[in-house]
Amino acid sequence: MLSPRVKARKRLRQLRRGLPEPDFVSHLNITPMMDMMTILIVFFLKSFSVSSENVSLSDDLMLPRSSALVKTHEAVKVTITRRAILVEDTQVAAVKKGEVDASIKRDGPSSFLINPLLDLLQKHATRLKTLERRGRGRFEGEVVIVSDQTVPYRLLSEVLYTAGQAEFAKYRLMVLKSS
Amino acid sequence: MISERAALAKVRARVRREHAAAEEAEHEGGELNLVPYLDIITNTVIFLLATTASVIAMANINVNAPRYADPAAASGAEQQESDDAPKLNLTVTASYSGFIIAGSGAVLMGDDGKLPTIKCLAPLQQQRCPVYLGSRTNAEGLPEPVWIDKLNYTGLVGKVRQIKKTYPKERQVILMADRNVPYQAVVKTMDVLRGTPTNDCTGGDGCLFDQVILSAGVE
Repeated sequence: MLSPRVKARKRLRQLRRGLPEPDFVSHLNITPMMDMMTILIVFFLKSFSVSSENVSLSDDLMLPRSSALVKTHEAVKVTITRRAILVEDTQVAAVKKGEVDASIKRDGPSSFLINPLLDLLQKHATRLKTLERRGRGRFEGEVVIVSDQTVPYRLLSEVLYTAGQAEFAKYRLMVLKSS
Repeated sequence: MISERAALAKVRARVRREHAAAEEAEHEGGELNLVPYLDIITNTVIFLLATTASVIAMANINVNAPRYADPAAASGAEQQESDDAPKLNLTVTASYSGFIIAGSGAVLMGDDGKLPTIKCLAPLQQQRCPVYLGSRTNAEGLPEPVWIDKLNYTGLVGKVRQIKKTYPKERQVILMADRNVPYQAVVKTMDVLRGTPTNDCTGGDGCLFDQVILSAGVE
């Protein structure tokens, strides 16, 4: 006959068998992965908001295709869609059938100068020059032209002429790479 | 000597305590549940990656405005030769009827001795070479846009190559177009004048005229 103490030990061992195994990997440590993902997401969001390449194409704004390979560059962005002219996503003039209304040009229909576009571009020029005086970047008079493929040459040259009047004389035409 | 009953009760109490401790460790863990947050982040990262991939294929074409006041400040100034070498001033016009090529003081006539230099590939419609964004029905019966462009780019390449042979150092070209010539045709003309899809024109790489000066069209 076993002593009660020994019996009790035996019973304890039996009951312990019913306990869950002590598990050291009960759940993964996902904190480092979180860190990585957060850094990635911040990086993507930042590169998204800064880039002038961020052109949303639509039926009204379809860039022409070209074999050019020159890298894109940050500058004041002038967009010509089939319906409007925009400077840095601010609409300055409406476009109808490939023309802007003669009343907003300086000297009527035969003029090349689009008044509201000139005003806004001059503001940008002043801003960039002020920045240059304070030692932030250089004013090189560059504009990026983002234009729809069907825009007639006349409208394009009107925009370029107006940009030239606002001291922007280097044009970069944004195109899609055809490959 | 303890009774058997008392000993067993002690053991039961101990086992209950151990059970409770194990369960608590499993449930609480002492930290936030980050899994749903991780789901959101993973979705956003994949979404951003997918949208970036569709925007990448962009490029620039550098062009300049014509400058009259200060020729020394002109864009091609750094490669200007000595004054005795005559400037070519190559001018290419994409007109309604075809391409017109001119140099300083002379206009290049077409093969039949008339303008334009390079004729349209198709008969003119309302005195214009057909260059427009048309529409056609694709295989699934849906309309899709298609470029109809009858300007003779191959002919232009041939002529421009000849000119480049005679003036190997020239890189500058003045480009004009008629009022309603679409932007796509102007860009394509620039591509043809540049010759190759090169990044920096050194001359040995088959590059033709890459310094484009856009000029307002003639009315």
